[in-house]
Amino acid sequence: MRRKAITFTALGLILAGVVVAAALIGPGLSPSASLRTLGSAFSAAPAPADGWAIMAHRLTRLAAALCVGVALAMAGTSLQALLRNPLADPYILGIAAGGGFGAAVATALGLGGGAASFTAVNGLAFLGALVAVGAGLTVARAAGILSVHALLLAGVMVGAFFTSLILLVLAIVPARDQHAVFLWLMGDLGSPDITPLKVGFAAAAVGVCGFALVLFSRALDLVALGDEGAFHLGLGVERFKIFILVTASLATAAAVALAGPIGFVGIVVPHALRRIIGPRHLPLLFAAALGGAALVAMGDTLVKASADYFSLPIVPVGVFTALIGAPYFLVLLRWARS
Amino acid sequence: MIRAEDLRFSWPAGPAVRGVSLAVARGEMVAVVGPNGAGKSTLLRLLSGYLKPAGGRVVLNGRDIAAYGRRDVARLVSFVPQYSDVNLPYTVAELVALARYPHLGPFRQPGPADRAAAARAMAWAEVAALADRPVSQLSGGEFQRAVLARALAAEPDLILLDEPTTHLDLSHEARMFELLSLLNRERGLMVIAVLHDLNFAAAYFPRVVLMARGEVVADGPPAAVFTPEVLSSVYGCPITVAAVGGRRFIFPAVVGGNRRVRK
Repeated sequence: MRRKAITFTALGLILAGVVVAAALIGPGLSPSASLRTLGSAFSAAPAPADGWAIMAHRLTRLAAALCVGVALAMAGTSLQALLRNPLADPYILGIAAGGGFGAAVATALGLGGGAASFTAVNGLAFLGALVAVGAGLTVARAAGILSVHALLLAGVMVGAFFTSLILLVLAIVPARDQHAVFLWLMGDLGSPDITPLKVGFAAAAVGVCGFALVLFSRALDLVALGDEGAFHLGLGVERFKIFILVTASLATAAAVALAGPIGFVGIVVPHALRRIIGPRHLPLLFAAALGGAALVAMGDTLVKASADYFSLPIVPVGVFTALIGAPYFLVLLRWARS
Repeated sequence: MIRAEDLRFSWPAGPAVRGVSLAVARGEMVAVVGPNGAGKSTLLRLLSGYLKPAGGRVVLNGRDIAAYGRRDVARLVSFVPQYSDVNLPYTVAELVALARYPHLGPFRQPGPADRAAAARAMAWAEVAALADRPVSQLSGGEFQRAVLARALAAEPDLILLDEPTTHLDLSHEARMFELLSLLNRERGLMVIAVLHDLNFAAAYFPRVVLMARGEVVADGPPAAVFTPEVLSSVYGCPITVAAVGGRRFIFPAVVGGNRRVRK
């Protein structure tokens, strides 16, 4: 009990700190100027020139980071439970590759950037992600039974198929579009295409899906007992598996459509928090939402800060999360074995 | 009460249950025994509703089990599997608390009655002292008792057990059967257990059902079913039944036979 209280307090404080840092750090406006801009909202003092425009973009980017973090961590938590595999992540069913293909096609058709981008890149990415999951589900479901084993295999194959389609697109588009596709595939929150309206759409989808997962968290607890064990405790296993898959996939697809496939958040956050507060899904889903939001926003802030203060080129946040995620697992592996 | 009517079921490898009819009334305690591959575990899963029969039906309290909602069955019938793996690091208390799901459904949080049922079940199965231990750190026997506690925490009318004592030492095996007998006598808990150990079946179960090749061969009190003739023909080897101190002891008579390992 105490352990949970400490963990949630710590997560809340970290998230608050990250949100403040993310609001103050970024290109175009120094931390002190950012502070004055924000302060001007509450006083008669005049805001610095252009301050609000830059601040609005920065806060939109922050909101996108939080939304993506919540979506990936909650989807990862529930898919790890559903697939009974602590190494499952939200992209294991080919969502990232499907979404990437959609985005690549949109870019190749010259639909990237500008006003048309809302319907094109994000829309096709969302669609591609859902097509990928749908294909995996259809293949893995036979005679009314969804085999987790078949689902994993189908997901890997669907992912491989869409990955080769992405490579095909990359091979035939001009170099300028190649770079845009690459940035997108790494998971990038810095794109000027991320507008408040898009973040609003994604947040609504993630909110509904996250709420549904929390509502059914106690049923999710039963899945650890396997199909037969969960059945004998009164769970309609087959319908429930589909429900969780669809819900987690919608949240993931929304995140991918917004910012591209940001890696490792959906696997590291649930995994680490489960070790700390235990496997029950009601607290775990909430903790994962806080932790995921904090991790993505922190990663994006560090990316912005390193570009600002060390004049490094701007790296997509997805590169950063993978840079923390992979070593985390290696350390854990080594540590758990000794 | 639960009634099987001409149940039939086939696995891809062939038929497993071939026309079993069986009625177990409230307050009964029944052991299902028989050689490997007799269809005992399949029968148990048909009775729990997990497997859908290819023919016949299971009637629970006068209604076809297929017509029940999932949670309605789980409130009445608990299942203790032969092997259970729990792939998340639940503590014993958390594992046992899962059994309240059929009473609560997805949306209600556990209340005092649920906590009391879980605590009682853990005390019965002698795992109360292990409540905060992760199940991954339990011995095979401790885990088996935790699984029994979970089944009892659901407060079922009927408990189905599939070789529940596989991992238990002799003393805990006896204690588990003592507990089941006690709950059967004092609370009217219906017990149907698949067992391999005929001696424990004879000692604790007033009624035994002997199965072979997917059919019921004999059904009655141990004294009537466990005769050398019946057992020898069903198990395909000579079996001796000895009476010691008013109890029946059953063992195969092939010990010290003339088989040799081929050189």
